[in-house]
Amino acid sequence: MAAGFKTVEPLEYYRKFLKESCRPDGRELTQFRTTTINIGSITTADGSALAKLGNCTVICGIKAEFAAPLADTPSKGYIVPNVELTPLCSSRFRPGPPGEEAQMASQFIADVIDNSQMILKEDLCISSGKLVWVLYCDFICLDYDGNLLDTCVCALVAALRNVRLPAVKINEDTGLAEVNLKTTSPLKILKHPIATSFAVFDDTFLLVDPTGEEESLATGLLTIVMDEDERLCSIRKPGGSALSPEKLQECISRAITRHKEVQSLVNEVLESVKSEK
Amino acid sequence: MLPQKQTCCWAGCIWWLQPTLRGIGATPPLLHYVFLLACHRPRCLLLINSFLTGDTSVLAGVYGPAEIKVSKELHDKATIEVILRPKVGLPAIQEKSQELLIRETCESAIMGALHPRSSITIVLQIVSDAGSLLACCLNAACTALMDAGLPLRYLFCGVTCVLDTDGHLTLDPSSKQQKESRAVLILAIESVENKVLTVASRGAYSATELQQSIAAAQVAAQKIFKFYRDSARRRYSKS
Amino acid sequence: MGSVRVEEAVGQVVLPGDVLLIPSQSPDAPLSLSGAQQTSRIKVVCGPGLLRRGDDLQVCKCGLLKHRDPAVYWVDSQQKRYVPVKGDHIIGIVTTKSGDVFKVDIGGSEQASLSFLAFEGATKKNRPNVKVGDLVYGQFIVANKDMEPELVCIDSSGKANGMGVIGQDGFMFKVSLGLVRKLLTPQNDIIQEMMNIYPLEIVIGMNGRIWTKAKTIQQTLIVANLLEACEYLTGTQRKNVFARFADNVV
Repeated sequence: MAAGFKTVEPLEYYRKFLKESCRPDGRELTQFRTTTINIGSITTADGSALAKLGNCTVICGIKAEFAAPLADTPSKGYIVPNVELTPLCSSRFRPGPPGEEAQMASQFIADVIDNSQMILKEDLCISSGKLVWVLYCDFICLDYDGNLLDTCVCALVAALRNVRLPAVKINEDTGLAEVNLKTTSPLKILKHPIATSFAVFDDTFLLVDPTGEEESLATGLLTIVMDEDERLCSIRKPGGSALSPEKLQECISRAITRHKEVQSLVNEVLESVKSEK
Repeated sequence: MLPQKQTCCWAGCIWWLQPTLRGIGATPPLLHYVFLLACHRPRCLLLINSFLTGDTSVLAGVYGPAEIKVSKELHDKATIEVILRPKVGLPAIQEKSQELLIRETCESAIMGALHPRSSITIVLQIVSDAGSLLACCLNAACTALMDAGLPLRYLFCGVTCVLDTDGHLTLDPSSKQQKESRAVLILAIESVENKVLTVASRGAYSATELQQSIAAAQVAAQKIFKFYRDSARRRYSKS
Repeated sequence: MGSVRVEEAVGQVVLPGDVLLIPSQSPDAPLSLSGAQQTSRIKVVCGPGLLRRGDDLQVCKCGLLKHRDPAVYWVDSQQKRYVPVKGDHIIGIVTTKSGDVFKVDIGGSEQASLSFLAFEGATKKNRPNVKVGDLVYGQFIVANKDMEPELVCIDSSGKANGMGVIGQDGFMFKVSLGLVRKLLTPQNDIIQEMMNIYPLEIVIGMNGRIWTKAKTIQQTLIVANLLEACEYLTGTQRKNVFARFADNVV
């Protein structure tokens, strides 16, 4: 009966739940789905992590490569994020070149990295004007169920903390780079930005961490990225229901607590990875 | 003498002076020129509308509700497309993400359900960029939609705020100010309840700074909406 | 402006999002028997550009607010894109002929269909002579957002009543929808003044298309240009221009 009602009148079905301040999957409005992080899942990558928010699964692999720096920024490396939404993760994506949503997500991650200054690009320099590191951050969505951005940012932070770059020396005589794979060092990560997404329902209800279904029914979406100093690194609110400044403030407060939750989770997982070794 | 076709085309063009937004920020007041002209085009509704903030100008044209390809058709609402054309060259990734932002802002303002299975295309041609480009695009898009007579829930306007290293807030920055700033916020405000429709940002800032920017943008938005109304009055004073 | 009383806004420019308040009935109005539990409001008919929002009206189009007694309100906007409305008379261009129906371009978002039986005197045997590219003057019998618009070229009694295929010569041009409505208002004398200058045939479609034919091609073009110019001329300006032409009739 309930299933039939849901299929015919999905909005009405949700409204019934929201009136009682809960959601069909049993969560409260301000509750996240279970967050799972697995670090170092891909052994061939220089750093990797798998993040799961409920069913939404994203795996992030980071590959470090040499490249020549740009002429106008000789001492800066680069970070190239790329999000892939393959037909594997949801039937709404078609094979072929990246769609609008994938492009938007890639751009969003690049903006978060730039705005938060989480990694100083100067730290990726091996030899000024000659050789720098490029970090290719590839995100592959394995299961798409809403809140892609939060999952991606979680995976990014966890994967970057997992990266170990080998020591590189430039041979004075030959001018070639010599890689010492025995001594590796982690990246210097200054900030840990964490994203918190909200869906606005009927212009009034704010739902944290929307599922795919909730996203498609919502009248507006909002993503807030926050670092540990409670600074906002990025806000993405593309149209949809208009929000009052007070509502925005509410979302920001929720983002602050969310940051602490994720931060401690990442630390916990990293500890457990270390102790296993 | 026969009235030339050209003359009646250009009879619809109007020049306006816009009171500045910069008065609210720190920089000295500067007059903003806005140029609106309605152009004759058979078969399609076209409004050419250029919104100049300082030296930034964008031409906007709205086509629709028009016929649509079956592959893009939505059965319950109009398909809205935004095309942002840079001054030179082909649109890059950055234009794409801006297009998306403008489209989603327009989508929330347009009552698309009144024109299902049709397309509404908004073409924005950047004429010159001297800072606050995205906000200018939003303003141009809104005035163009307004002039096209499309059903809208509310009007919207874009306001750019920059925060410099001292935490000082400036509205409607020049490209130099924008480059030197610590953070840039682009806010779209709607006209009915004065709430925030769209937020896009670059750089890091605190929650208080965000709230200050919103408050400043809301004040500035009132000026822009007043300007919209004055523009519309001029346009309709002829009939 | 935010919200204003509706009668104050008449004749003014209104913008999307404006709220027009409908005043409740004046206290000296005759009391209804159903009781005074509700504040009774004047019954209002809202036309294009207005939507109901609770007891009040919300504007969704930019334009001038117009009013007609007793309480009909609408927004008159200068849009150029036509949206089909049932009952409107329009000029269409036949684009394809497929089986029993013609497809007609009406300048809207979709092509309209026109049955070959919807002409005066047409039967299954006696098909009307309509070719692709012809102009037709017809009326909508179906026009809503969810269905394909349908045209007919006969009235309810099966008579052409002026509708049908428009003759071979003449000239069709497009003007804004606002101008068309202006030309078609009963109290408007632009067409009458024009007739005084040149004798002419004219067909005005609500979709912004005007077809006209005068004695010579030159006169036809002058008429077309004059009508287009009317869009941006005030009454007195127009009279001056027309007077110049009336003096030196070719």
